[in-house]
Amino acid sequence: MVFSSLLFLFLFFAVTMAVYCLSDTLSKKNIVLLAASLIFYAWGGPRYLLLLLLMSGISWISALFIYENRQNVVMKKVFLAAGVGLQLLLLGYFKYAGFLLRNVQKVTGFPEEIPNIVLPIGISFYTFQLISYVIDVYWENVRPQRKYWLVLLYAGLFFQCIAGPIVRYKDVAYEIEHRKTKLSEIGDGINRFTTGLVKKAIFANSCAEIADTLLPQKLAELDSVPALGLWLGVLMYMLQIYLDFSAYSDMAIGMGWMTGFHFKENFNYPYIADSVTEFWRRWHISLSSFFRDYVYIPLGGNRRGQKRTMLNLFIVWALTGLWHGAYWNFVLWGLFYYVFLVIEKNGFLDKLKTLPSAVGHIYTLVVVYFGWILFKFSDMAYLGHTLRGMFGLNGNGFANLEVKIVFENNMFFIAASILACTPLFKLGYRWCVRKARRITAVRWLCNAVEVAGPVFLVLIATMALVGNSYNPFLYFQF
Amino acid sequence: MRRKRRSTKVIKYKIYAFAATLLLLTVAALIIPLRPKESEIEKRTLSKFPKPSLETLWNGEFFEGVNLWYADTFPFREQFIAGNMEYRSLYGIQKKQIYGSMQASAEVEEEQEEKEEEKEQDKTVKDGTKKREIKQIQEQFGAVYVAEDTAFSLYGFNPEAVNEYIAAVNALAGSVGEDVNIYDMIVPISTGVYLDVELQKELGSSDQKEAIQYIYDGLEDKVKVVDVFATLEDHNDEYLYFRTDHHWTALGAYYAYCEFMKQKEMEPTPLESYQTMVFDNFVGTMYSYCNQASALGSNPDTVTAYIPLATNDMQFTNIDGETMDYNVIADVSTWAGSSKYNCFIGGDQPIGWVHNPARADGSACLLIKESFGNAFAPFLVDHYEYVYIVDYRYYPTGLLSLIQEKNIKDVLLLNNVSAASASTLVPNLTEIVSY
Repeated sequence: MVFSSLLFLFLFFAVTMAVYCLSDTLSKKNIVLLAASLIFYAWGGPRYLLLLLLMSGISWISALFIYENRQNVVMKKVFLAAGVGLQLLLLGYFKYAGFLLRNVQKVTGFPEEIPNIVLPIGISFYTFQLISYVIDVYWENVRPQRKYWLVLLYAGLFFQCIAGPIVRYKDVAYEIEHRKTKLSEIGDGINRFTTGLVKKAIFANSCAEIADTLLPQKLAELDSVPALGLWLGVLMYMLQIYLDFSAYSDMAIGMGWMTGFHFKENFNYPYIADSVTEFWRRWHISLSSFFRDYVYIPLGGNRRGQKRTMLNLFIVWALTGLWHGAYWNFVLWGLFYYVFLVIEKNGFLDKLKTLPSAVGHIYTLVVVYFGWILFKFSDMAYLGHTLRGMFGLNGNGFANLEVKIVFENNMFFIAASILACTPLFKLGYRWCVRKARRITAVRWLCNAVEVAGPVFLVLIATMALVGNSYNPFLYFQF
Repeated sequence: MRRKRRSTKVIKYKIYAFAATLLLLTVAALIIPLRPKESEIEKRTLSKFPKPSLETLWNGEFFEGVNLWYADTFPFREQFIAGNMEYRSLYGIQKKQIYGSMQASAEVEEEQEEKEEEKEQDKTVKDGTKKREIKQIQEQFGAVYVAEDTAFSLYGFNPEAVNEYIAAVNALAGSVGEDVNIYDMIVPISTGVYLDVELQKELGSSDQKEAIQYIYDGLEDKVKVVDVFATLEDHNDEYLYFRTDHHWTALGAYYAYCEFMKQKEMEPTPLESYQTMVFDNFVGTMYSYCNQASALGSNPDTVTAYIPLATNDMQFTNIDGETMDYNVIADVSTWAGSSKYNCFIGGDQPIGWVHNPARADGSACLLIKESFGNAFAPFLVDHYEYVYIVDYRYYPTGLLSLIQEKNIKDVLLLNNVSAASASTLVPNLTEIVSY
């Protein structure tokens, strides 16, 4: 199940929240959340629920053993290795076995057949949560959770289980058993959730539609798109990927606030960054901080000399890339950023700071823009054809009627989507509210917007979701 | 303090409003009778609740099916979609639009063909006569270009299908008697008649004139071609095609009929002498194809139908084999806005026939057509004692026996150029010709 589906909104979420509100104690509320989360997860195929149960079990037990043996340096390490190792093995099997075998096959011709392993939904997210939990217990940053079902709730909570953010156990350990909800936070949570819903159902989905029109699935079709179409297509993809991904985090954070959880921000307007370094401080923060805390720093970070730092960064960025998918293009995408980050680290960043911020901003956007091309195409042939076509080497000219029409048809929407990637809407709304509150007559209008706004957002998102269930490849009886 | 209390109140109202919206729609969504089963506009049956099996439960397919059913049959679906279209019209300047990918047109047809590959077995009916198995045959538009309030379906030349069409017509001509006249008429679609050639090229729409000429050139001399392109072009400032539907109007069909009469050296009936029926608010296939674009929906078409002078009575046999009395031009004023084109000859029926009481010369004509023929057929009525109308997509047996039995001397094959190039349709013609 995904957040942006009618079944989620108008059955699963509504019923879960209703039952949640009717439950009087926190432990009952937690049971409601756990039961809902298990149903939510099982919806994509119950067999993977077993995997979630198993992996949570591994973390739960290994964390307990690590804690029991906290005086025994060796045993502690053994249990850490066992816990984290098993998680990584399972993740490796389900996510990377096919990739590994494909590459082995290319080199050695063996094995002849590659098993088709289906990727369990959300595995990359909850595995990382469970690993961070075990390591935090090992580092004694947090006490282990004695109750298995609460570890399961932490890993499987449907707010963040399948699309992030990657929540650290220590950030929610207290709240799992002692949280309180404030009225104002429920209100904020509703705002955040409904904004995220609209961001996904309207903005991201419409961007995807345009991107898919301009960057068709078939190579032969892709080859006939003129240069401007490809540039616009990649731009729409760039907008789509941010709006889509951050919308999920918005909804997760919003649902958290409604129930008293406080997840850390996962996106902080990455496209307004002035450098690639800053971009990665604003993009998928919970992932980059995971790699920083659990890979980069344990490897020695930047304290072991220049060469070692470069190597550490290389490892981190190759892994960051690989985390996004078991294809070489994702690794390349990670290493692409590695190159720019290293350049920035070695003096370029200081030079950037002396220049007008527009320069850094444009430079960052260009790097990120080309990064998304790498990210989009797992097939190198597509990548090559797109890049060639963008520079007019596919012989399709600069623009054609279709591209012009697509642009004209969507120009206001594209402008709005670009603005939606900046804090403009948020700041603008706040500014209006602040100004309006001073005038009694308008204050009522403000309150009306506060009350009716989320309802309005839910309704327009519903319109889009119902419309999308409509199959655009329609057949007709003559 | 007062301000704080007030803002607490506002937040409470906000929570109530949000919760009420979610719960109300949840309750509505669970009232099964509220769920639509079919979409009139999209002309399709909506997703059904999936049947669970151990396997689909285990691998999640069942749940995926529930998702789809839940969303596809959501209550107030048409209203929600209409709302969606409403605000999507604010996305940009949408005087010209394209629906479906222009590059995709040709590829799509290939896929279609693959799907069709599982050929159906002929079934033997109780009385021992064999009948073709009729599948719901559907035609697909590659892409549609919308300029202001008018939709134009783009045409993709498909040499394989066109060659099969030529072979089928030639085969028919070769197997009928010397005294049977075979006429072939390929009707351009609106794109070829209304849009200038440059624009058609820019849109990636194949040249229809060339395509039609290619077909005519391939036909044997026995087949007399009725070239209607020029006459339609001459009248292209008139209402020859619908704006929201892919068909031509009866007026367009009338000019084609005049051309046929010229070929037969007969005098066409003047348009003014017909009695007419007029149906407003026709919103056709293009409207649904274009995701119910408001540019089309808010500018509906008008169907004008011309009633034959001699009679308005006809009969047809429907797809279930039942024969019914009907009208050549039926009153569809109470029908849904998307069904107004069905006023002609009862719509797409496997076979229909009209007996003209004003004649007793035994003359008989056979029109072999797809739905473009529906608007055309009524004009034939006054010129023969019997007019037979076969929709080759649904006609269950062979044509030859029909031609012999009914002593038919004029056979007219009428197809729009897209249909004659559609790999989904032409095989049906081949089948009933060689049956």
